[in-house]
Amino acid sequence: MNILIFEQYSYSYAPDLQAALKDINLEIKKDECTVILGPSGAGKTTFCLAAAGLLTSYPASVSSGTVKKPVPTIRTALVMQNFYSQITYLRNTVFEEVAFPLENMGLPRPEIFKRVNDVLSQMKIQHLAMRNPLELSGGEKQKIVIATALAQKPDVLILDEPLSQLDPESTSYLSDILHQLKGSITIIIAENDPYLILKIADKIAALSNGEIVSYGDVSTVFNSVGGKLVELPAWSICAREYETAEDGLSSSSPGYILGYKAALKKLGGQK
Amino acid sequence: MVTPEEFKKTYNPLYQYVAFSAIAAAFFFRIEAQGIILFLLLLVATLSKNRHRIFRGFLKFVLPLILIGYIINGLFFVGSPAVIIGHLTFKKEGLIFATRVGLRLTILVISIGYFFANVDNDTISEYLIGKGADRRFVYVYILSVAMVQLLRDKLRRIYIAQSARGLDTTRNIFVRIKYLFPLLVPLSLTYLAESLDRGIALKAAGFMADKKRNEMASSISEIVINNRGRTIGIILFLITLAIAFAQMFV
Repeated sequence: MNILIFEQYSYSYAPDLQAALKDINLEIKKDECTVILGPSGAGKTTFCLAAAGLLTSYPASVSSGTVKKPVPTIRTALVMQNFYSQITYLRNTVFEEVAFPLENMGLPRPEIFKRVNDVLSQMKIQHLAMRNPLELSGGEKQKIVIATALAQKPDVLILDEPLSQLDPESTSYLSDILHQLKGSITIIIAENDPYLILKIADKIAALSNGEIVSYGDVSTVFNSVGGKLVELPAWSICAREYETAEDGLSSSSPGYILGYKAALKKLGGQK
Repeated sequence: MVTPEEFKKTYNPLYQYVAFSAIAAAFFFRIEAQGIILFLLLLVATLSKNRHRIFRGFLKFVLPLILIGYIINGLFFVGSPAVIIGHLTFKKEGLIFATRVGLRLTILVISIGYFFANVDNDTISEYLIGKGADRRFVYVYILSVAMVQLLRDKLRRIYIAQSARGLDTTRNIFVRIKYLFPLLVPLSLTYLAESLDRGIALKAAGFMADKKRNEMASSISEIVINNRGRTIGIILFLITLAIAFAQMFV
């Protein structure tokens, strides 16, 4: 069952600007994890905002085509790349900050307390519950924003580069959380981290200049556009790590093979 | 495990009425009476638990302004000489005018500071929403107040970064201000640019949902109004207005 359908969707932030998304045709299935891959400026953030139905906020924008929700009650939750802006600062404590969208949803108080307590313990951040969000570190703030999204129990969880501010331990921890969620919720994640992609992706949509240049399961996309992946910093690092490994391929091997294999090696051959 | 008991907030309207009364007195009372009002206000502010916040702000920003007012008005006002220091002659009329303005400004700043030092923003926003205020108005209000704190936080980070790049933090305040001043404009512009993201984030959190937030009883905070404080506050405010009214006819 499809949960989100992009039909010939194009979007530009202003009439005289280059389109941020061009002719996107994509069907996102229920409980599937779709990774949006691409270099900076490819349109990943715009794609996430479009999926969350939030692109209408830009006054001079031009769009064509549609982003359909087959069931109107489908709830999306977004974790933005600029998560600093996502902290409302309307509240003095992390607990209230996480409860904010639930209050807007009009949930009863006991339900709000239950959900927030649950999500804080799921994210292992109960100790931050009564802290002021302003006093937290960047990584902690990002966890709060993710917890706020999860507390809404969305049908579609959209994450725009969620690992950008996290330390390695938190990265691994968030990967585990997403891995646990996988299968029970639809996830759209704009991320270039090879390890996370290989761990959770069911489908990959590779974006370049606002267009989907390849879409399919992991191996399909790697086979079609893998050579370009090595241009992304995360993948080139991954490839270099493999090159230096004793059992690595020769350095003349195509970049995508090096990156892919190195990621596989690091994950212990999960895929 | 966080329980609802931890989100019981007490709002004492006395703070609000003390501030209102002092502001009303600053505008409507005669200058002779304003000295007494200022004395009473200082007494109340000194007895409040967050007095350091009130006076720190006053001493840092308002007192220098008042002193500058004395110098400028004293020197440039047309009138009879009152004080002569070396070659400088301060005029009586100018000093009286500066005293009037300074008194009013002091009362205004201390009364507003007294309110904000004793009631936190969170409680104010819950109280306003509970009273039926439009949540968009409340958000804009809170964000305006929060902006000061956010900008200060960013400025502190920039300051640390500049120190790491060789800014001499041991030099006097004027030199430091000179270094930081050019950063204020880009800092404010960044903040304004962020406001679009902030708007999107609010929409994503359902802030603009069809149901009006203040029509729902789902807020996790519970505001307990101090009725005694409200009664005393209203009486105080009415007395202030009565005195102001009486002065018009005496």
